[in-house]
Amino acid sequence: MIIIKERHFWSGLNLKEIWEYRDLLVTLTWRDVRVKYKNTLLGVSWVVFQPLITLFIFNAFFGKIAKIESGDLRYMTFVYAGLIFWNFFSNSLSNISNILVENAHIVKKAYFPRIILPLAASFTALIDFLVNVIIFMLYLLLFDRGIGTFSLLMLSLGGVVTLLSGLGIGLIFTSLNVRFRDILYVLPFFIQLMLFLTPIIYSSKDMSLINRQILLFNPLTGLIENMRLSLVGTTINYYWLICSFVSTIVFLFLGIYVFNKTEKTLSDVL
Amino acid sequence: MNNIILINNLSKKYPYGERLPYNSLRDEIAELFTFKSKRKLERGEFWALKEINLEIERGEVVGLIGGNGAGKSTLLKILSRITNPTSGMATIGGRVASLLEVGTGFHPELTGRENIYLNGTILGMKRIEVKQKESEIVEFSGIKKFLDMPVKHYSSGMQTRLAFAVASHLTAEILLVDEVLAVGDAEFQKKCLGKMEDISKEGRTIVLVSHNLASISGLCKRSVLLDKGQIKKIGPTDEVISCYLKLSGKNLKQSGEIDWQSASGNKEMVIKRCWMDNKPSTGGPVTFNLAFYKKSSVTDPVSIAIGIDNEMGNRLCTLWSKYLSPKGMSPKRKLGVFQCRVKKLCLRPGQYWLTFYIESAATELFHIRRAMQIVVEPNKLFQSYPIAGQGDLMLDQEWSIDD
Repeated sequence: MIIIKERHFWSGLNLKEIWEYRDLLVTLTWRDVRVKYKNTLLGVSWVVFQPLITLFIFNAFFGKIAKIESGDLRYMTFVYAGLIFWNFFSNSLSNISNILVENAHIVKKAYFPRIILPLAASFTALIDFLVNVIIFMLYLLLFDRGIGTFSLLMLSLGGVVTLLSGLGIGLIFTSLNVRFRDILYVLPFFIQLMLFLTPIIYSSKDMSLINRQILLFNPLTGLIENMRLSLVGTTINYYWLICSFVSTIVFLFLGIYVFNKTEKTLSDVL
Repeated sequence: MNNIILINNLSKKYPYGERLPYNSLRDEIAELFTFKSKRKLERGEFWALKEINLEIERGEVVGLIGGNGAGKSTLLKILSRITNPTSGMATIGGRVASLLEVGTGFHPELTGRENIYLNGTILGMKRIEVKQKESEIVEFSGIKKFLDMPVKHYSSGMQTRLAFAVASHLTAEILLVDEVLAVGDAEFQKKCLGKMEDISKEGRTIVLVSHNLASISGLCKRSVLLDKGQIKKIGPTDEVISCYLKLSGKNLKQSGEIDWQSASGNKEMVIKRCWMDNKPSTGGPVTFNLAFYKKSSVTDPVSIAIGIDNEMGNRLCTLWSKYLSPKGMSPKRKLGVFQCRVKKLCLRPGQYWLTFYIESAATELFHIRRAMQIVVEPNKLFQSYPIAGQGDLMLDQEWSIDD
């Protein structure tokens, strides 16, 4: 039995309904993965090449030329531990931000819980991430110290945190993008700015206390620093980790709230 | 409960005015600095639907008719949950699939087979259901050979066939169909109609919106007439259609100005006005007068055509000057009137659309489709007239017995 009536934006997520539409989620994710590398020469191998190229560039310029301090880790490993999450985060952010506008034709012609679209976009990025995690682990095993239980735990925990925080911030962007197409122009700068506001090429340990506190609003900060700690083998910094969790949850709820508000009139506005 | 759809006081309001489909941040900021009173003036609201009450029984095929902007599509969109009502409620007792267009979500880069899954799940099917029906769908579409080719290489006809094949295998109990029949060739439309009859025989419910009154009257026992967002009439389809025709007859332009600016062609010659000397009636004479204006650049002879379409938009005949004088006509002055005399107008009483066309040396100068409507009235020459399904033409006829 379906009841149709006026919707309020505070009516939360209908998890049961999302579960009923899981097949659509799978199909849309699969569509985006399929389409992404169609008509490219190297095809799916771009999933691996893209982050590796960034890694080599960063290693050359920031490690070899600028000689940024990387503590007990080799600079390559140091950057890689950050980039693995950063790539996931920025991919899902840019995937999600345009997903509603991109799929306007579907939104206006068929019903499904709208959150399926951003979810599919972040799952598309998740698949890339999983492939890259394997590459990262191979790198650690072959060229560095190998990988411990703690590091494995941090990698999986980090995957969840990055997925959720990317989703949360992405939901805000994609909702705003429905009304203000300016978002598409703002996004590249935002991502660039975030890259520097995340301790990827540098360590937050080198910063003043206040700056470090500000940096901890970024869900990725605590995560990346702890990933590095786990690789070095020292104890985890729980305060940083909790900061990371809290800001992820805040962004996620904010994102869902904004998205629900947009969803109410979505097909009329798009 | 036998009612599968129950609509209670359903209303939908749209804001209109300066709210464009999307605006930029700059506009939004600028708006903050405009005075409130001014903002109110520019904005308004518009009720696309107002207090709709409707009950639809299980297994029924119901037609929704009405002019443009009557609220048919809005009602369908609310029932399919694409848009939300402003107030009121609707209860639906089953799975709904809405066919608001053919091939929703088709991706040009994906193959036909991949698009079957994509389109099917978007329309609410489970992947496993698509898988079970895959061979049936492929069979129905008749494009088995091209199934593993990207859809972008398909002709539009092939895309439509594939899309309709998916749509016709949907498993939902309730189908909401909007103007799907309007696309495709005659054969395809026939196939659609046939499939819809099958679906209704299976006891599933269909709500159908169409401008094609013939298909509505063929499929639906009961219909609803919407006008300006309100229900004007609910009842047997024939009654509702005649009510609709009466209603649209009120705003009919019998003779008059042509909106020539909206025509296609290079418009070096245009028809500005059309009128008839006497009221057209079945079997009676009629003269069409077309007031034209031509630019001096038109030096070649021209030929003029008047197309006559019925209410459903099907072309019945074309009156064309080149049938009689292939060389064309050469108007001497800039302004003038073409006259076309028809000795016996062989059309049954009803409403017809006129289309105007001018060409010169195979160049289209002016073409305006369905520029105006005329009403053909009954004539004393006949004792009775064809009803729906007996055709629109009424030839001059004599009957006798030879026994």
